[in-house]
Amino acid sequence: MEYFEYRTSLIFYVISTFTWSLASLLVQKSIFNQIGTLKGWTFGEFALLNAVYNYAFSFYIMFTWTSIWSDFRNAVRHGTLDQILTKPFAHRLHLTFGHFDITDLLHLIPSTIILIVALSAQSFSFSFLHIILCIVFIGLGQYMLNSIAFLMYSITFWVTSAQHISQAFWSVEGQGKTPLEILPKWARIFFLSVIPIGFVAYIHTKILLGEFHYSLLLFSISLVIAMWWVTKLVWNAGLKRYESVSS
Amino acid sequence: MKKYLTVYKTEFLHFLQYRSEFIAEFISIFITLFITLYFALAVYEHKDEIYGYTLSEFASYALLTRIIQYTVDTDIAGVLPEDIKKGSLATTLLKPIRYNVYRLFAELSWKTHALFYNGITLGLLTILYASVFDLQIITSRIPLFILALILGYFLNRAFRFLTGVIAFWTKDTSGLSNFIREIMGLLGGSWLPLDFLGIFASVLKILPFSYIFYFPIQLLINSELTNTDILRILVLELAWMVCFTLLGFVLWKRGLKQFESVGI
Repeated sequence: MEYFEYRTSLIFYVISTFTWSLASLLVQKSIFNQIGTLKGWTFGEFALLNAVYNYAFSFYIMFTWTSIWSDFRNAVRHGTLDQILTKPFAHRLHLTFGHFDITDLLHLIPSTIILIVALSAQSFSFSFLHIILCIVFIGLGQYMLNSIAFLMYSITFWVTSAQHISQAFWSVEGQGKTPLEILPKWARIFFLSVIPIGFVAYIHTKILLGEFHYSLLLFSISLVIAMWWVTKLVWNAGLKRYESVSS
Repeated sequence: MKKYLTVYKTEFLHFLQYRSEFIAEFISIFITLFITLYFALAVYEHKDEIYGYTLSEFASYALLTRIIQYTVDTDIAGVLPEDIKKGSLATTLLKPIRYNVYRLFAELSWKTHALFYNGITLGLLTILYASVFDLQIITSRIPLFILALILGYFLNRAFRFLTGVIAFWTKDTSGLSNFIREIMGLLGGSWLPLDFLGIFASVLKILPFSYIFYFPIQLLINSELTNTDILRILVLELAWMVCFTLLGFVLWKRGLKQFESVGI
């Protein structure tokens, strides 16, 4: 809501979101005009992947980003985390989802524009089952993305200043809009397991395009459980290390 | 000059405390260039040339873009509006130092760290790229490229100073700064060579942003450039830098007249 205090800034922020989305489409179109397909992906499918990625990114910004970037990181660094720890609610949940800014809904608009471009570039036929599965996987993917962010910013417990972690995070997260087919096999496995960024948008898009196996659902749920366990371990280890005086 | 060197030394020691941050930068650079490498291989899988660029030229361009990005990066667009918004600019103005020079030396301190650590990462990735691609780099023009890089840094800094100084009137420029960062990436040729943008390329090459990324890279990879072309690029880069610096100076003076801070 602080964006409404500075309306000029808000206007430019909205324009930059649109600019980035439309510029990305322009660049992609200019490449696809020359090559036709990219590892089997047409421009329409590539734009669909980017649309799904933008929706996932928008949800992440809406529900998680401010909490992790501002609240969690600063609380650890400035020693004010115990003001949260002494309160009777789920601390990790609060630090991950405790912030919601209604202005972040604006991110959904460029995502929708990209989706419209994708749908107009190519005729898709999405089955109802695949749409439902895609929504389920979006939920699972959001949890994985939040866990990746949480784990990366938990480094604050050990190094105190983790400002540049955001650069590493955005580099990792930004690969979610690239088809994994361009990478070698070992890298694809890595981005679908160790750092499951493939579950931000790639898997969802593949499901919409009709490529789905039920074993994938089982694997995703297992991955979510594993990530829940790892984040819990790291959180507990971080808390043991955390200290603050007179906060 | 001694006081500014003291600022440099103090900030340099300050950044030595947070050496681990450069591990994050290493990860960022590595992942970005790794993905770019395979993206290039995928794009050129069935084509020898795209918009006049071969695979090796495209790979060289992508690598040099990252090198330039980490060299010309500046924090003035974030730091200056923050100082204005919070009023802490007043404490700096009371000191016998020039604000812009003070910020320049403070910035150069973390850039020294960044250039050292990122230089190692980029050096290793250059070796990786060279083993996969035949990098099209004209080694005799490296000194000119370094000169263009330095001019590009000051050009970028002068332009970002302009966006920061607008905070005297709007207080918050985060939205504008975000917009400028995105637009410069596209218009400057940071995302792709400007030639990939077809009919828009000729217009974009007139804009000052192209002298930050596109033209310095052309200096190093385009063998068709004549000495006149090279001189024209460097002179225009310098001219844009001077133009933005003067404009920034004028806006700074006007902004100071109506700047106020209370209770600092």
